[in-house]
Amino acid sequence: MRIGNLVLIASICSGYGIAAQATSTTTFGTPGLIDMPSAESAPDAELTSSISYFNNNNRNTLSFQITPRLSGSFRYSSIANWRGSETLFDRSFDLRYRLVDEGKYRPAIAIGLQDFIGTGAYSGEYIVASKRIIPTVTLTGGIGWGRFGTTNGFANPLGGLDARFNTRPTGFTGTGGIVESAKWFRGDAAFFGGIAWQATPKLTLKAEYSSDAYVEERARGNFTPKSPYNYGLDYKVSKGISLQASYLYGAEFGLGVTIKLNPKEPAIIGGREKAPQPVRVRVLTNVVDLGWTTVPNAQKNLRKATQDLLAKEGLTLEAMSVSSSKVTLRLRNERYLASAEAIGRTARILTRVMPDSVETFNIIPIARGIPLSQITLKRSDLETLEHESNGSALSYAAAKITDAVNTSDALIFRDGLYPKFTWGIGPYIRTSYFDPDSPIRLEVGLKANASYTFAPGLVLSGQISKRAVGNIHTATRRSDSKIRRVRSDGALYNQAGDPAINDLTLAYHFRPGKNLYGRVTVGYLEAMYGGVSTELLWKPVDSRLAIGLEANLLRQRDFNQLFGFQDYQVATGHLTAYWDMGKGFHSQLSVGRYLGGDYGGTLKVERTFKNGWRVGAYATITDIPFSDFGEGSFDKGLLFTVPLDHFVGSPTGRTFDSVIQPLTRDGGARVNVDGRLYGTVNNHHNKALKDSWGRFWR
Amino acid sequence: MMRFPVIAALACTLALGACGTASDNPLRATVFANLKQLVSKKGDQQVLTTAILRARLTSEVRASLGASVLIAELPNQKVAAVVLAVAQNGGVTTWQAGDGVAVNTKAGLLLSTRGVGFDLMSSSVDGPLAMIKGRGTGTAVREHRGLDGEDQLVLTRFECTYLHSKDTVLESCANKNLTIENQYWLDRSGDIWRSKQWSGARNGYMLLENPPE
Repeated sequence: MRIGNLVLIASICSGYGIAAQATSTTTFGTPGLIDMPSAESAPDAELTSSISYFNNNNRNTLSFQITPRLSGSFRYSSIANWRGSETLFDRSFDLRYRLVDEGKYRPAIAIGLQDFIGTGAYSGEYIVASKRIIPTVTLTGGIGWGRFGTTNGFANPLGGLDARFNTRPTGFTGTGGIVESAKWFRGDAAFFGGIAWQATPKLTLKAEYSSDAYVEERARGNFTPKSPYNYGLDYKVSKGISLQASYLYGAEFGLGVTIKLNPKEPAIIGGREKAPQPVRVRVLTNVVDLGWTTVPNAQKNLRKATQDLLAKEGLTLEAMSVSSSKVTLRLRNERYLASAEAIGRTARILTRVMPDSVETFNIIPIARGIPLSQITLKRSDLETLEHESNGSALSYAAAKITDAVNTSDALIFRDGLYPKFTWGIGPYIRTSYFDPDSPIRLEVGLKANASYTFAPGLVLSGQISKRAVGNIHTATRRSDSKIRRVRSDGALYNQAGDPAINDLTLAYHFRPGKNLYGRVTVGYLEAMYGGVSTELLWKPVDSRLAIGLEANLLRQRDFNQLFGFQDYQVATGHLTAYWDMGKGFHSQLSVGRYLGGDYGGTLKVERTFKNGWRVGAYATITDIPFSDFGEGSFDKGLLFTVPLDHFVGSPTGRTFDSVIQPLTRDGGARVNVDGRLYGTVNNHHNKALKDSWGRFWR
Repeated sequence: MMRFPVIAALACTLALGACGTASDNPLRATVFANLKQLVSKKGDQQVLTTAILRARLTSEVRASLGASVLIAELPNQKVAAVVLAVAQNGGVTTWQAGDGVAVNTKAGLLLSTRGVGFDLMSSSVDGPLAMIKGRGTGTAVREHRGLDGEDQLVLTRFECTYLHSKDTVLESCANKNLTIENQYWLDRSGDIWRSKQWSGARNGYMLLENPPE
């Protein structure tokens, strides 16, 4: 995915939690006037998806306010009548930075690079200033280069610094997709400007003088401007949706829709889940009463009572042991993304169930059968801090979070928990984007999955799917890759794989030692590859740094996605450093060997939100020459992790993970395996617990 | 042409329905059936209020509930519920409704809410409590904590003054951004039996009433 899903989610749930603000969107999907940018920024963290259309030109843009000052956009455009009747499908990336904040007299000033990577059809740079002169009127003026310097252009003022600024190179480098810094701020410059008047809280009227002459579009017969003046309006339908209409260049009417979503503004802050069990306060004299230890079946009865109460909160008790003063339990949390909330609810249930002499609670969250951490709480702290004003911070300070290796030896597992068989059948929707023949393709079908857990950590699982309707498999465009087609034969897989075995694996997750996590997965790992995948992760429970080592021996599967293989075999592997940089940013650097046998590295940077959202980007560069890689030169993409809780307002434990990969080619490709360790482990380690501890008492 | 993995199905699985053992949907069977009955909307009634619930709380109904009750209403949100005392911890009573809403009070002062959404997470009211009980006329500090959109606690601090009449106390609290006004009605023994208390920007004031026997 999947811009589509974000748009879908946003439109279903629109009206929730988007701050009122007056920036409106240009035809390029960036904050600004009509076709021209302004110096305004969207609110921090806002995700904007917009669609605009005017004669022959359609632009779909996804923008993200990366920091309060920095924003980035990805755009997929179709420009009709580009070569004769042929349509150009173009991908472009922008970056803009607000240099100066608006003051009492000083305007806000921003600098922007539009379409700074790639073929450069939209490439242009600008420096722009905006000032709110009265609360409802904003004036904007700027100077533009590239396509923003084509109406009444003048010699580049930067030419005085260096004569190279006077001419702008044309065309693009190699196969496109790389940073074209040699063009930036080169060639003629021109002034642009405009005015925005917020006539009513919902309606903003705009007029601008554009410095974009649509030179290429005019020459190719796509669009011919008749005047540099544009007029437009922006109407806010609801908090998250606005519509734009404009009269462009004295020639055409344009329409647009913008959907806004902010990860920091969930539908219901804190969620609407049911109140937790209240703490049961002990009677002081009972604390030394150990009579219960002689009751027959005491362990079993306590386990049953705990398990029943946990089940009501959507939590699963796996194993437990109770001594006179201490209880230790393994907890499976598949409902609360805020891991501290699961711990807090469990702790309160223990106060209700455990005999009064039990003072220490050891809670061990597990995932995929392996213990992730041990959270040790004192029952007396729970009793005193439950209604304390600063109870959250105090209870975090009093909690001990430690490694959980070897903690489970003495635990008694629930009867009948293993082996465990689960299955499910349900519908699926798949989408496919960016095929020039049909930029959006869709498929609906039925999938069935089943899993058999032999023992904690050892799972046999598989999924098959059968399409019902759709046009993904009818794509006729075939890979033109010059190198081994390790990823670009998707169309052939889609066509032949019906029904398909999506995956069928035996996976083992285990703890080889303190701070260490291990995984071995064997079988049909994903649609295109089968084989053996192994992984070892070093991640101390309170560390912001983790190191992972992955080694895989893979064979490419037959296009029909049944049991057969093609005769391509490859060993891949990566050494990865994961680093939680703090301040809401996370980075990940991998070096190693990719599916095509190519060697290289992947850098991934994400903005992370404490409520589970993640928005990021990655790039992979390997030793495959850009010319062999083909269009785009190297692999890159955008990453989104969206918690469903954001929209439904109660804990579901579900997130959508999506990658927008503008081009899927064969260089720098990696195998997809379910259950990679870092994602499995990280959410119940110290940093994630601390980030979610505000919900401990929910 | 490219292909994307099959994750998008999640939303639709939820929307269109799916079956299998993997879906774990616990039902909360509680002793709160009576309470639920009590707050069910009857006929063409649109909004429950304290007055409606007070009328429904006949002595038979109260006897059937078997614990003390409060009527809680959020006029802003147009919701009201009867909540039942379910736990005590150091002078704090936890009151719970049939639908998972809970309110915590200390000697009648609202400390926190749960299960409402945009909940008041915790409060410090010891200063105000002393003022109300002791008919004090100075200022006291009140602290409220709520979550932000990233689940981080945000502290709001108020400075409050008190105006006492025969059987009511008016508590006026302010900080740089906000002024709120809580009101308490006291019975003959000086206990709060009815109040209007701020519970946060989104939910507004909460009305609490210990209905007369």
